[in-house]
Amino acid sequence: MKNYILMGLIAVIGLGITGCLLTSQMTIVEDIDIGVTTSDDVSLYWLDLNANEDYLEHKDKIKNVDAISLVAWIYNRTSTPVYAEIWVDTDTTYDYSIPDTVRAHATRIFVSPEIPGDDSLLIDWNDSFQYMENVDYLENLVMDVGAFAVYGLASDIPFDINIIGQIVVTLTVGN
Amino acid sequence: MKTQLAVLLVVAMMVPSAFAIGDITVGPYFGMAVPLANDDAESGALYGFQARVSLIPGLSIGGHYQSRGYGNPSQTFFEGTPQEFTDEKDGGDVTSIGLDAYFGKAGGMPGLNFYFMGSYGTYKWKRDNQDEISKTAFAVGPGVELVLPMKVGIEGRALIEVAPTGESGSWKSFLWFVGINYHIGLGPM
Repeated sequence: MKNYILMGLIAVIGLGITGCLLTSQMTIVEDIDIGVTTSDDVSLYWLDLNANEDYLEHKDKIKNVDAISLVAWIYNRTSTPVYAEIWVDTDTTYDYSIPDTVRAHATRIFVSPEIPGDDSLLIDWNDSFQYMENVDYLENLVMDVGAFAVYGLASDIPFDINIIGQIVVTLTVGN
Repeated sequence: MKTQLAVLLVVAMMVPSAFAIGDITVGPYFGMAVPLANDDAESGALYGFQARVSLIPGLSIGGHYQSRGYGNPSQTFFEGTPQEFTDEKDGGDVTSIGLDAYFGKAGGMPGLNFYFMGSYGTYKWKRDNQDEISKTAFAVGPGVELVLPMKVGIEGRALIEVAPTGESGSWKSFLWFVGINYHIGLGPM
């Protein structure tokens, strides 16, 4: 029996030395309350993950972004169907109220399915992954920057939509 | 990995000899996979099929196919607002094909046989709407088999499985299962 205990200890110590047992996952959920955004006045939401205590505590120990998605209620306030889009950027020095300016500077990370006119759509957690774009870029923002601007647009002009969203990030953290 | 293999070989040499050799063991097993420190999945059932052959006293090698379905993690969104709802995402299915090494009594000697085993194999994780993840994983842990005189064995095993993600992180699971084995071949020599 001693041999088996010894083998178990050797195996566990081996795993610990490689660092594999010293990491864990955490999930943070933060508001992206863009609100009403229109083709005449694009709305910006400044997302600062440092306001999240868990993120702030483990920021220097992030090993990997394992999953990232956006859960959102999106309301189409016009009679024309639209595809809502979410763009991100760290630079807010330009005039972001104009859709084309945002498109020229920022990076699109999300495109919704079609939202009928005068209707709303819930992007749920499981489905949201299929609507994400440029995930690597977004993961780098989460890991290395932690704060960035989030813009709400739509595929066609004019648009008038209301986006109430949350970002869901699962991180591997460890020493 | 070289270090781990070296450790396993040293351990193998420490195991007392005079166990059964020449036995071939095959059988299915069923159990549970419990994710450890993992927010992306919940516990789920697993099943698999294994085969092994005892080469020399105290050492057996084999292979396995395993499939598991993780449970769905849940999360509440927009807490405290009119939009609040609780949702789930797919925990996904993991399949694995791997090689196993058994140190100890895994050779079909009638009675209660204890062993320690290590496993190395593929780790394919499929989830709805997310890219398939393909890694290699290793697992270690003890096992015990009650071998009955009619060459049938009832086996139980507990493993810690680690699938390194490549960024100093890993997915970890505790696996336990019970299996029914049939011992073919030469039997104890």
